[in-house]
Amino acid sequence: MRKKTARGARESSLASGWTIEADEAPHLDGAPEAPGPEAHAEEAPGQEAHAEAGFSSDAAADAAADAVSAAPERAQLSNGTLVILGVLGGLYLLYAWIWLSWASYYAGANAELAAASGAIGGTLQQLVFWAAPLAPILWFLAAMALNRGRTKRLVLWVAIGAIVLLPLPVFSGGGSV
Amino acid sequence: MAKRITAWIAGILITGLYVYVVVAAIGNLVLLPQMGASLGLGIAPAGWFWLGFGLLLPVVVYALALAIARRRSAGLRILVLAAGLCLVAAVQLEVLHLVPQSSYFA
Repeated sequence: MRKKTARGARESSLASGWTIEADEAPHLDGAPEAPGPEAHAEEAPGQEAHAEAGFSSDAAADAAADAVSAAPERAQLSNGTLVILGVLGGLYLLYAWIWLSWASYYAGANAELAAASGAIGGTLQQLVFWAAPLAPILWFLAAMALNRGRTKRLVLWVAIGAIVLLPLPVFSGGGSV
Repeated sequence: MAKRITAWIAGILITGLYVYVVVAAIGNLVLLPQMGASLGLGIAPAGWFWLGFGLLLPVVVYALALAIARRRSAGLRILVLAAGLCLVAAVQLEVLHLVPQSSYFA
């Protein structure tokens, strides 16, 4: 947490440093957009999240789009926060996929049961089963909407969700009946 | 006005699903011991725990969702309620997966 905020602060100071030190270091003027990625690359080894860069790249874009739509000009999310949210967002998508597979399994098993028992209960039970895959997605959206502009709390809530919604049967081989 | 009506309808529908989960849990709590008795079996302590868990979880999550989304906009409240319902559904699937049916009986 502290590391992340420090990075955010450092990056902004670097950006302002550019405008101030432009006279002192004219040889760097050629690439005005260099500091962003450069600083990012410098920070990269200190952060394990970058180990999954390939996994997070599209998820990061996803989360970035989410962040832009969720918090328009309230507070700019730092790069580190975006990477963390992107990795967790990708994880959430993976969760949703796993839950979807189980929901379809139980919906199939439950369809026979519903045919035997009451129609209303069966329908509602199907609805509840199919609600499970939406859990990670809705949790992410709700966390985004509830914690606008409060990045630490947002990351905390998303991290809590990643633990709470962890599909436990994955670790036991799944499908134990 | 139309917005408020839509929000209320959505909220009532979601609440109805919560109520269904509670009713189904009560049904399990009442009928499973009868089923076990007809087979000459009692309910194990772990069985009672999971039956009670299934009953309490939706109630607790519903209350928590309402508490978290207090003083927020109607849409946000409904989003949080829906997320809570999905969480309940996910945990229910987990219990179905991980707790063997036979462990309910003793």
